[in-house]
Amino acid sequence: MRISRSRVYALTVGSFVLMLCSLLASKTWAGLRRSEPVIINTAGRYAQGALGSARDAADDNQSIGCVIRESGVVSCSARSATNVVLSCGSNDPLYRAAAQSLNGDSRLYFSADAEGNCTSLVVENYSFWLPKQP
Amino acid sequence: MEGSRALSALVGAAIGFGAGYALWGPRSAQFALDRQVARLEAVSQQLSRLPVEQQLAATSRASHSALPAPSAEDTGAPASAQHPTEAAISDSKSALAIARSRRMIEEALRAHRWTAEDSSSLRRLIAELNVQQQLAVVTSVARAINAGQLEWNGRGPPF
Repeated sequence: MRISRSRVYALTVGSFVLMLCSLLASKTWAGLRRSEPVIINTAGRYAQGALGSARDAADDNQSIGCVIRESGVVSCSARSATNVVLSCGSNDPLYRAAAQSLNGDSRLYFSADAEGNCTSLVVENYSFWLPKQP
Repeated sequence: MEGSRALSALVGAAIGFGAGYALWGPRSAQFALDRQVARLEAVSQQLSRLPVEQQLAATSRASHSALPAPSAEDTGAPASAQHPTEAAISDSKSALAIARSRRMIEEALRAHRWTAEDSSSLRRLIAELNVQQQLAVVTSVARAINAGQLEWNGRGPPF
């Protein structure tokens, strides 16, 4: 049996298109994704972690966040997977503004002095931090 | 002679008044202040044995008759914004709340434990405090937790 040249050409092109389609279908298009569990350094008195990662953690301990009271007093606290806790308080309007920008997709860093006052409060709202899942 | 006697009497009276004031004036003021503080502490202790609602009601009644109205500066409110009686009630509520908060923290420190019950009670008390008192309470608990003097086993924020 003899196969014509045009048929070979059609088969080759068809195979190539099929291969390309399967490659495109298997590729997952996703941006950068990062996860950060709650980390607490007791010596340095700082805590950090992504809210979504803490919520999604396999353990039952992790949590991180801040409370903003109507008086303007802000308090932040975090608990790591190993049950280490760190907390601080402040009535600094700059810290209050930072805490107000927290949401479920945020990553939070805060530090405290020896008296329990917050000495820094950083909120990251980047696309790569995992959102909170139910 | 008459004149010098009168002058001597006047000088003697002035010296006597000065000495008396120096010896008894400030002391008696301090004594009165100490007595007021002691009375306040005794009332606070009696009130702490009552439920919170009764405590606040009793404090409000007492403040109508006993407490002087704090200045606008004390309460942090504009002079025209708060009636003197309301200011006195607010001040006495915060005084009671701060006393209870301190006592709660002291007891927790003795037990080396900060419970979920402590946490929720403190949240209620914090609402009665002014900004500086709130900050003092929050940071004192935070300091104790961070230093390992209080073990917080509850879930979520400790205050």
